[in-house]
Amino acid sequence: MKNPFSGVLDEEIQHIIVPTVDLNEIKTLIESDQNIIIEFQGKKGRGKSTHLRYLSYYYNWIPSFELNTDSSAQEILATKSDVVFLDSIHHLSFKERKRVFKEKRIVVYTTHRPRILSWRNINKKRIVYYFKGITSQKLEHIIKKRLVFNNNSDSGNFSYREKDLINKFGDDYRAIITQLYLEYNGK
Amino acid sequence: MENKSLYKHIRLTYDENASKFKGDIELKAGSTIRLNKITIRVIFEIRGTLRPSMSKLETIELESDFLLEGGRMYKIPFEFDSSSFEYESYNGSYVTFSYKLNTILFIHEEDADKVERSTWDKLKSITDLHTKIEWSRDFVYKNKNIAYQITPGEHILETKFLSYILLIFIGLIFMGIFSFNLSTPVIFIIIGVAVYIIYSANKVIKTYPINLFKVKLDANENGFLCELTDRSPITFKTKDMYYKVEECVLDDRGTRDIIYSETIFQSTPRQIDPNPKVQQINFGYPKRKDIRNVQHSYVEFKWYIILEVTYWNIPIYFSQEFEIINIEAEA
Repeated sequence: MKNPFSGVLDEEIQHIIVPTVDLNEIKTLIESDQNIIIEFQGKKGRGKSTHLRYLSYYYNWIPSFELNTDSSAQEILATKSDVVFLDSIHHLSFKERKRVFKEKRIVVYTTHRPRILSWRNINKKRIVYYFKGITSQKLEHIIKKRLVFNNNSDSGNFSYREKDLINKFGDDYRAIITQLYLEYNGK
Repeated sequence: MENKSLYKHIRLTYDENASKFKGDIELKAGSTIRLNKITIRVIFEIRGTLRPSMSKLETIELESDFLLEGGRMYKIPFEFDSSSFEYESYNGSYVTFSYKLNTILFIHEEDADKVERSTWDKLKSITDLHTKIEWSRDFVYKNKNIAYQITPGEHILETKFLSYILLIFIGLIFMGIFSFNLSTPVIFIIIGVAVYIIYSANKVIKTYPINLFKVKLDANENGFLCELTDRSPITFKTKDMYYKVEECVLDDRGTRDIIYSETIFQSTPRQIDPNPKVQQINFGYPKRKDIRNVQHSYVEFKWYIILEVTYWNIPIYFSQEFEIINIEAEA
């Protein structure tokens, strides 16, 4: 039986996501004719990449890059699309970030820290969405969605305490979901 | 009133001799419905605290233009072989390898409303066609013909003990600085000397690895043989040898990577004579056969040979990774 707190496939995110930011507003921006930089800002484990993966699956024709230490701006600039999704933009150098912001019409990216300096002299509308904060209600909603989606008959016996999880992990959703994964496995 | 019920069930058995799964799909509808086709898919999934992956190993079209008469039970047989199955089912601490059989009934559009949908079907149909009824059944795959085999080789056992000592040393320096009311120039001189000592010590450690213990690993009849060579100038009070297997999972889903690891097997520690400079220890392989030599970006099983010695009653661990491969077991 699948653990409801295991990692989810891109196509499954739509069923389990409890949005932290207004996804419809972001969709409207992406579908607009404007020049925009959209920043998803927050510490690790707050759901930035999950939201970006959701958008990337929704707009499956828009190129999406999960950047790592080997990544460079070349591959991003080589795409014909004027809209791009970039996960972990800190892997690009300051110069590369500026080039991408200049050359692509809409850039949606995730970052731990604000990238204000990279925006300088870039004539584009800039919008920051902050990923922080948690409430018991929201966490309960997230957990219930996962349990329902996985349709596990034994999920009804699974107990958890949102407040204890929040006290221990704060708003680090990834750490909370990992903890729930281990607890579900009986650890 | 129209009967919209639909009984659906999958039976599945494994024929070890033929390496084949055989089964049938049982269907009984309340009303007569037309099915454009009936398809089964064999799916392998890697899930856990990592980026999941799903691969469709096989797709079999069982029937097309099939009439499901109301009130009649149908049994549709199928079979598929397991030769393309790379891994066994595995339920670990942070990762699961699982197989499932996914069945899809493609209902004729005009008959789509003749079947009652469960909440689950409705949830799934948000994105899927409403003419599809899909359900899955997990199944377990165990290949009993798999055995372990060590890759022979010589290894130097390494220890992090000196790194810990270095860390304690750094801690003591900082404690000293904050405990005494020292003037700023003195603090800078102490920090400068400490940095120089640590830098030099670190360089020495890197240049001359502490190769006090060497092991030579080789296959033997029921496991593997470990020949330990002790080059240390001192005699340790006790020596224990064992090996362990760690399940390591890389979670790269977010903006920062996390590695989870857990010991999933540890052999019984073998107390060995502290005196001889060369001695041989036999180890058997784990009885569980699901520790596979995985070729996956995010999952790895690491085997370590470990020597635990005590000096002044302080336990010091020396270890090294070694390689085990999976082979076909002899009959």
